[in-house]
Amino acid sequence: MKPYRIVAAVLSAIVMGLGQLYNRQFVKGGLLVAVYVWGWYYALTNVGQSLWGLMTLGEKKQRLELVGRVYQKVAGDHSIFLLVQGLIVLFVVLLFIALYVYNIRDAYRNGLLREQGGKPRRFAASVKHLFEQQFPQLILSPPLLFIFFFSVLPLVFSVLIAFTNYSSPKHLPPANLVDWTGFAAFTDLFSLHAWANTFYGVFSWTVVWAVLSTVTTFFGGFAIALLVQQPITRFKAFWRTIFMLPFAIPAFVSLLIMRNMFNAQFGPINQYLAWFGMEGPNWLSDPLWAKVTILLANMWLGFPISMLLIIGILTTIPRDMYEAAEVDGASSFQKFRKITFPSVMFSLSPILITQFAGNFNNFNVIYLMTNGRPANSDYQFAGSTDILITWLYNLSITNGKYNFASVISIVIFVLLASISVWNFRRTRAFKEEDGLR
Amino acid sequence: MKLTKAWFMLATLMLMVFSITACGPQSSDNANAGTAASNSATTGSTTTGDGSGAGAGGAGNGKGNGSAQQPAAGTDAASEEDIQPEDDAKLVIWEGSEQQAFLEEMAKQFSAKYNIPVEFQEVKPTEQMNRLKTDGPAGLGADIMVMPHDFLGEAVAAGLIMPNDFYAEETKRHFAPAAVAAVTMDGVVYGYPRNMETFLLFYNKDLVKKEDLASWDSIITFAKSYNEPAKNKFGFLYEVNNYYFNYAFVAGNGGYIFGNNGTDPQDIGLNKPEAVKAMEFYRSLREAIPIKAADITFDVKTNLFQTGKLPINMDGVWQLGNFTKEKLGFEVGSVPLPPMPNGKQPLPFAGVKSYFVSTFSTYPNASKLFIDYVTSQTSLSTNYAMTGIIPARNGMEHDPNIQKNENSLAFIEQFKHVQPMPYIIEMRAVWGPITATLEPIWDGADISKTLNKAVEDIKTAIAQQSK
Repeated sequence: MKPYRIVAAVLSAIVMGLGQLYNRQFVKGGLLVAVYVWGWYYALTNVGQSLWGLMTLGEKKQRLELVGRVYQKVAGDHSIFLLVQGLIVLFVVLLFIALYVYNIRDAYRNGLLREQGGKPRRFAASVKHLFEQQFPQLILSPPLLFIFFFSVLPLVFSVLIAFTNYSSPKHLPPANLVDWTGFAAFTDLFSLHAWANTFYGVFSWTVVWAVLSTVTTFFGGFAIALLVQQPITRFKAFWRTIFMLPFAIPAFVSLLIMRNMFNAQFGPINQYLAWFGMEGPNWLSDPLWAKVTILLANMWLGFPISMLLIIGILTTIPRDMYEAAEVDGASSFQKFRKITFPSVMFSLSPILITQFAGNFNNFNVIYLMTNGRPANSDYQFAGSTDILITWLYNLSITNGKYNFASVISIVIFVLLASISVWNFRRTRAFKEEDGLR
Repeated sequence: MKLTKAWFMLATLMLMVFSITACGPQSSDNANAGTAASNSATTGSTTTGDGSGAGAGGAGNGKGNGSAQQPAAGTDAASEEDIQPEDDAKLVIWEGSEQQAFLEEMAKQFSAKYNIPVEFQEVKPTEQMNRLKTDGPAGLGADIMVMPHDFLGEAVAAGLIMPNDFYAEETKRHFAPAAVAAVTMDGVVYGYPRNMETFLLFYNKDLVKKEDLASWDSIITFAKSYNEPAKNKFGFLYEVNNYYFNYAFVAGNGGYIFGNNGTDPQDIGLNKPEAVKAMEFYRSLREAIPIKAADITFDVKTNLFQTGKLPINMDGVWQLGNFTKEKLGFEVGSVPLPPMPNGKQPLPFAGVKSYFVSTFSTYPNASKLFIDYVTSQTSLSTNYAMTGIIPARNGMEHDPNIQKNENSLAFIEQFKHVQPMPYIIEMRAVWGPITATLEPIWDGADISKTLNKAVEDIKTAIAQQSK
């Protein structure tokens, strides 16, 4: 009884693939050795440079030198590109390490198999096994790799920006270097009066907006759905189509039209009110009314989808429940409270969370309807109706405060992720699924 | 900050140590440039050029071109030497779609002459800088850009554009001083000016006589006789709530945004007595426009003008192509902004659209050669004929095509009284607070108090900005 598994595992730990060769899996072992050699070559040529880049974020600025009559560029280090390249190398190394761990485990297992008198698979059999037994893993691995490099890496990158001083005017590459500043951007944003004032103001409005816009669109849709589904309502299909129209017209178009409809002097809405002898409010120029206007506009755009969902669910509620309720003498309000509402909420609470998250970052409505106006001089680069996401846009795209924008995006992410997870775990739909498994 | 670096280093090292256990000798700093992050960006953008009047800045005081020496017709480069282009150069230029036909025509001529191909890619002038920040280092950026000059501060701070070195003297000699000043920073010329953009008064010749636009008083008198607010009938409208337009009165009165020709962010002149006076004049315009400031949006007033309901409309040069008899069905005239009641000329903001050479260009010399080619007298004349932009080159007012167009001539007149918008980055901190003053002042708030607060807010923002 030889300790095959120990020998194989140790050999694989020394050089990737040696254990497999020892286990007489020559093709697999050979491939792993080749990858190992390539991996070391890659690491030796890249890791030093990328670590230097990640840690220093560059040491030389780009300069211009006058040569005769023309300036020549003397290239320097581009901090942001160094950061991205460093991350790419780091991620490749992580993948390599994962493969390394897998190879040790594989060698150990096959050694164990040999100890138990089995024979490790030949290469052709391994491939066959991969296609037959491990097909899901095989199919899922390319998307996973993509997610790793095209979702996780950018996420890590943008989080890291929050810990630098990457911002206009003094820290713009390539003419300047960017440095690691730790939590300076966080402390500035949350404690410096001018910034903190803006942050808390915009943040509280964002939360109010997300809650109210979700509630209004959902219950608006609910009310319409109930009306359409009443037994006495005729031409149901016609009403459903009519009420889908706001959703069918691109929001981009309707918002720009609404911006003019709500004009306090020239807009048709106030013209009608004037016709009835009423003076309409300043829909868009008064900070409070502007918020109300956005909520109304969003409700108009958002109720059809809730309505459609809820109509779908209403049709699935068994009729005999209502009949039984009627026999017991329930009023229509009681039927709604005890049957309709719980059934709808049971199916739709997860969707409410996604709607909440969507509204929290509802860039379009704010940007196209008011673009943050009316102006608010107490805020830094934000107006009275700006929400976090539009403020972030102003900070990064318009004003080049990338590090602050990154801090805000982290705040948004933490908030939405925690609310979503917490809510998702609480919904009954989620628990039921656990029970069904 | 050292501490963070140390932590980061430690964390990374730990990671390496844990991961590469039982491996051979560790090696580092064997530097070989890492893999390039190829940041593949899609080329081609949507929509047409930028048609909004918020963008431009600079220094200098638009003294027009008194006596411009007229270079010999044809090529003005005849007497001046040209730069030697690189071998095998090929160029990419970014511009909005409205200039595409012109630039492709120029590219054809240029390639025939120098054998250097030039590719046009559609990127709006206002979006070019952000595109270049990412595309440039990745080697995908354009060689030549066309940007409004108010991007200059940031573009220079970030090291995105090359100075105008070889042709600097020529630029200074042939272009309007205000335009050259707008693309000059700390004494270094960066841009190659193409045209200036500003605004004036357009009027509907069917509804109002030119005499009614002789002074602000006559405009107010005319508007009062014409206005019927209940029917949304107004004699004169402009974007009252947009500081871009109102600064003309402040500057004309001797107020200023930043001292030292718009380059000293420590010296803010928006609440000086002159500026307060200008805002009093601004408020006096409420007699002509007796409604709330925020309701007069670009959409509303442009629509009223285009449908023949609004006699007088203050708007920019970018509307020249839209305000024609063919498109509107009535004759449109234009006059420069009349002097204010105290006799002073308003000085509207000027934006200068200018060519720039990217620092990421592999062929800077060929780029300069092409720019020199498209900013020659002949090329600019072609550009006016094809796109209607009024060149900022001296002596262009004698161009027969421009002579034929009274609105273009009115703009050339207005260009003699303009102030380029400041291009320093601190300008961004100004818009929010100063815009917030307009509504309250229009509605009767105390002017100097309101302005003082705005200036305080601007100072706070600038202090935050330069951290």
